[in-house]
Parts: sequence; C-alpha cells; structure tokens
Amino acid sequence: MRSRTWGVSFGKRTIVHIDMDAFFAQVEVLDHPEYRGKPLVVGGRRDSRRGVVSTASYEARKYGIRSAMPIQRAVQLCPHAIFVPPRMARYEEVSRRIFEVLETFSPLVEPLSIDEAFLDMTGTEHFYEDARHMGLELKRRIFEATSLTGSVGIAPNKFIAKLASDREKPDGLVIVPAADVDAFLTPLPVEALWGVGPKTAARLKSIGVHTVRDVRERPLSQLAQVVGPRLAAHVQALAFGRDERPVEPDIEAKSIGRETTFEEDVPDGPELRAVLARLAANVGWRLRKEGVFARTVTVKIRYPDFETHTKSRTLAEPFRDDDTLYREAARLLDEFRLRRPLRLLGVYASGLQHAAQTSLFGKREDRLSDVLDAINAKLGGRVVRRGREL
Amino acid sequence: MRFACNREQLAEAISTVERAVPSRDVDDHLKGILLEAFEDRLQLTAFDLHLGIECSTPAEVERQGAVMVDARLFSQLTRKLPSDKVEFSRDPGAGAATVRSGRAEFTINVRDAGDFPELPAPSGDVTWRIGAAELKDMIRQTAFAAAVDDHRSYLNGVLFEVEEDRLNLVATDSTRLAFRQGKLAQPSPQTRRAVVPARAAQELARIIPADAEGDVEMLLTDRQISFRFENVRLVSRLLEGEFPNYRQVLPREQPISIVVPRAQLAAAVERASVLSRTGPAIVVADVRGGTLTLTARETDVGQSQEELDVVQEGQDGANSYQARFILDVLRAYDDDQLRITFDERDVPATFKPVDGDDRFCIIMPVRLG
Repeated sequence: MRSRTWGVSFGKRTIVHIDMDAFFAQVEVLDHPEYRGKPLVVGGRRDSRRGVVSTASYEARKYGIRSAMPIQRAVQLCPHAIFVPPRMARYEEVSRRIFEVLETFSPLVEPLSIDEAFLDMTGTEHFYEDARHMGLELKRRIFEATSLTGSVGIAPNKFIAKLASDREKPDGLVIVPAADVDAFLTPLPVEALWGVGPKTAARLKSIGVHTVRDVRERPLSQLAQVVGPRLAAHVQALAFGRDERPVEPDIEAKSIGRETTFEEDVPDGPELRAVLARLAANVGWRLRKEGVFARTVTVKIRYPDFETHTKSRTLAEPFRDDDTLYREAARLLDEFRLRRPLRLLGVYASGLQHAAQTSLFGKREDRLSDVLDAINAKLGGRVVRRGREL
Repeated sequence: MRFACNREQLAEAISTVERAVPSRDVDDHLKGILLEAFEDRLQLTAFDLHLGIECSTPAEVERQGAVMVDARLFSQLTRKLPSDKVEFSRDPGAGAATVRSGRAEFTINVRDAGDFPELPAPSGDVTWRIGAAELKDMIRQTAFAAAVDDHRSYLNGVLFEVEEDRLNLVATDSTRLAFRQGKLAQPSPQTRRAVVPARAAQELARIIPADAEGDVEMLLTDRQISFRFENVRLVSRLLEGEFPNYRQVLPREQPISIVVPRAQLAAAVERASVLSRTGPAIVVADVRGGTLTLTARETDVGQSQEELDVVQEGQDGANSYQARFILDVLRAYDDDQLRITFDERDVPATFKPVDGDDRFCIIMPVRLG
C-alpha cells in the first residue's frame, strides 16, 4: 500500500495547473513547419458556413480571432489566415504523451481536457530546489517529449493555480505562494472567481461589488441578497483564496498503455508477436509500478495508409500480470485477422483500480511477474525477460 | 363463489403470498393472486413461474369456487376496508366480483382462475423435516453470501445438502462463503444436493416467525423444491449448474487467530467504512500484541485507525478485506464473541463462534496496489 496516493494533507498543498498554449494550433505548426509565425485557425475550412473556431494561434489572436467564434467571422477578421480542420486523433496522440510526462511527476493528475490538467505535488517539494524549478522542470520535460509549450501555475489550491497559469500565457510560469495569495487575488474583477458567470457578475456589480477585494469586504448577508446564500458563501470563500477541492485523478478514464510505430511495416508473425509481448510486458510492469490493477485490455493497430482500429476486452477479475495482458492482447490481435502489415501496434490497460478482490475459486497468475520484477529491480532494469519477448 | 373471512387474517395471507407476484414487465395475467374457496378455508396463491407461495386462511365458505384478482388492488383494498369482516362474492363466469365490508362495497374486475399458471404439485420421493426456527436462522446466516445476478446461476442460490441427519446450507459469491449446519428431525435415507435461489430461501425465512415452534417439511425433485410450514407452502425452481466443491476451498492453515467481541468489532468496521467514496470500503486488520488495529484510507477523504483489545491466540500479521463482507457476517451471527483466523497470504479469513463448528463464514482478502 502506498501512502502517497492515500495522503491527506492537513497543511498547505502544492497544486499545479498546466494548460498547453493554443494546443491544436501548436500541433499543426509542429506537423507543418510552414505554418510557423502565421495566423492559423483550427476548426473547419474557410469556406465552411457553419463551423466555429476550435483554436487560434497567438498570431491569429492578434486579429481578434477567438475560440468558439464562427469561422466566417474569423475570415472577415483575417482573410489571409490559414484555416485547417481539426485532427483529433493526432491531438489525442500528443495529449497522451503529455499525460505520460505528467504522471511521472505525481500520481495525482486530474485531466480537465485534452491539454489541461491539475497535479497535486504536495509532499514532492523537497525533490526540487523551489517551486520555480519544479515548474521549469515540468515545462522542460513536456517540451522534450512533444516540442510544445504550455503555461504553468503553481499555488496552494486549484482555483489560484488555474488563475496563475492563465496570467502569463504563452509559455508562462506563475507561482503564487500562500503568502502572496491576497495580493494576487484582491485586484482581480469578480469574474475571475470560479462560478461567477456574466449573470452573477451583473448581480454583484448591481450592489457595487466589482473586484475580489469588494467581495471580501462585503458582509456575507449582503452578497446573499443578490446571489443567494450558497453561491455567496462559495464566492466569498474563493475571494479569500479558500478552495479545498482535491485533485481527483480520473482513474476510470485513465489508461496505461504503450504503442510503437515501426520503421518498416511488419506483417503478422513471430516478429509482431514479440513486439506485442514486449508492449504487454511494459504495460504490466507499469501497472505494478503504479500500484494499480486493470480490468480492460485494448489492442490498437494502424495500417500503412493510417487506417486505425482498436479492440478491447474487459475481464471479470482485475489483473496486472504480464501473462494475462499478453494472452488477452494476443487474442484481440488474432481477432483482427490481419491481412496487411502494420505500421503501428499498441497495448493499453484501463479500468484501473487500487484494490483487487481475490477469489476463492480463481488462481493467481501474477506471481511470476512479481518475481521477475523483484529480480529486475535488483539487476537495475528490465534485464530478465520472457522468451516470447525476444 | 361466495365466502366471508376476517380482514386481518386475509391481509396477512395476502402479504405472505404477495412476494411471489411478479414485479412489472410481465403479462397482466401473472400479476394476480388466485383465490380458491373450499371447505372451511380460503387458499391464496401467487406464482411468478420461478417462485410460488400458497397460503390458506380460515373462511366461511358459502359457495365454493376460484377466481383471480389483481394482486396490488386486492392487497391495498383489503388493508383499507372498514370492518373486521370481509365478504367476497362472484357469480360464476362474471367479469367482476363484489367485496363488502361494513358499509363499504367494491366491485372489482376479476379473471377466470383458469388463466392462472398452475403451481407444480408437491412431489418428491423423500420428505425431510427440520425445526422452522432453526431453518430460518440457517438461511439468515448463509443467504447473504450468495451472489446477485451472477451469470453462474448456481452462485445466486443457497446449496441445500442433506447427509444422514444433517442439513448443510452453503452460499458463496466466489469471494466469500457462508456455511451453516442444522439437524434434521429424522436421518435421511439418501444424500442429496440442490441449489435453491437465494430469493426463495429469503422469502421462506421471512414467512417463518422467529419464535416458530413447528417443523418445516421439505420435498425435492430434480427441478423443484417445496417447503411446507403451517398453512404456507412455498415452491421454487432449483438453479442449474454444479455448485462449487466448497470443501476444497476451506483454508487449512491460518497462523493468525484472535477472539473478538462481535458487536464492538461491527461498530468499529462500520465507523471505518464511513470514509469510502470511490469503491467498496476496505479495512486493513492488523493483529499485534493482543491488539487488533483496523485502518482505512481513502484518497482525498481521510484515514482512520481504531484499536480493539482481542484475545490473540496465534502469530502477528495483517491483511485487507472489504468492510461490507465483514459486517455481513458480524450481523448474521448473534454470538458475543467470535473467533477470527486468517493469514497474510491470499487465503480466506474464517469467522466462527468460539465453540462449535456448525457454522462459519470465510472471506477472501483484497490485494492493495
């Protein structure tokens, strides 16, 4: 049992919010270097009548183009911008690499979207010289893995961390230590408070409450008269920098997986099966390292023409051993009835849980994996492997 | 058909058979209660094709006959009638019957008794008898461990195993198993095994009052079991499939052994369960130096630790279990003290009384990540 995943923080927390900068646009520039430095709009073709902007590059934003704006409006604002349709599969692939990096920083990673997450770094502070080094290291590792930049906020809670990451975009790093929370918050407009939309803001302004400082100075009863007692209490707590929401790893949606793209396409046969065994062994090892069990195995394949398919199976009992993973992955691969060589092969484990109820009638299949892990830990690396991986 | 009976007795008979009325989503003709008036009694029957319950109550029968009434309507109506006496009459073949009580009169639509699915007649080559109160206890102490809606249908039942003068009841959902032995009134000439749906067993236990003095009679065929207790007969289809060989999974060696006060442990486990949010509550039981320490933790919620003085009879050690499984057995048993034996390995923990081997419950541990 790992105490860090169960940890309860009674003192100050260290919460990180990371938000990639114009994520879709950055990925497009990465894949099409000729777009660099130009106004770029992701979100449908320029001749599309109904499309809206998903993401605009910072260059496009200078022309006033914003997310959720109709494409036609964006065309008017900047006729020479480059308009490209979104490629979600590609963004997800990059997103996965980002989250893989995040998960090496903390077991408590809460994804908010494809390119945004909270991390609870409480208790890991002593690994870094200070919060700035922690933030820089996070940004450096993400850049190393993806060549993309993101903005990071570090603060004692989610609410302030999110405000902080937004402060110096793009490629920002803003740290708000507990002592600076008041100075950081009080000048902000009420709209900065999480849960205060245009309607609530208008009601607050109707009684002369314009800034966070105003919210702090008003008696709760006065705020309650315009927004109701519940929202008033919530808003005032935030105004004082109080936000106890925990970082909640989305363990159900989370998966642990590994995929490999071949330099030359590989047909089904011993070579492909050995790759499958290595992928399964890697996933199993990571499950055990993370201290989780999985219920679902997924195999992903991609043909040379980029046609991509996945197949999954959910088992009755949780598992985390290489043998179960390989056996189920091999069955799923059989079910594809591959007729062409593959460009990519991947194995994923999902339906993750921290505990596994053992069965009276089942037999444990993971002893061998545990023994191999123990030997490999002593040898310092995955030295001893199963024959099928060779 | 014409009879009169006592309203309270009728209401009681309805509530006895009502549980065998199918819940929604079935043909209307199954949602009825069959009323049969003959000799000096009224017999009520409900049958959802899996479970059937028949109950008779005294009645002054003027004209014999049978009819089917809507279960819900008849049940609500009876409970609300103004007088102690209920009169029921229906002309042969009529589509409606008249219910009179005091100065109230209802006309309710009825169906012909012929539409009612026939309850299998009691049959079987051997009759076994066992004390009703004991059987009620036996069911209460085993049926909780049965699975609910498992695709292995036999796990959704309670194994009835007859051997000489013993009746063994066993239920398991494959992660825990409860066993209880009882004594038959007479030795059985043959050894028999049958898996009774847990629901049927629980209905039987519900029908038997705690202070029941008589015996329950059991009759068995390959397909069905029927129980008779006083004025009630319960018939159930048996579950198919081979019930697991439970003797094979009983733990042989458990180096950790403690005697604990049952109620105190139950209260402590309940407290520890309060923290659980995302999944089933799990408690870690750690035995050391005559103290049992229960700990529970939940990410982002908190953690708890509580110590109990126990009589330690074996080694030190710890393992983790689902809190609900522990509570189920602690609530099913009435003993002041229980002996718990377990191991740090993946073998079950055993809960049983300090004296006697007539019952136990074993629970598999949970592996933490």
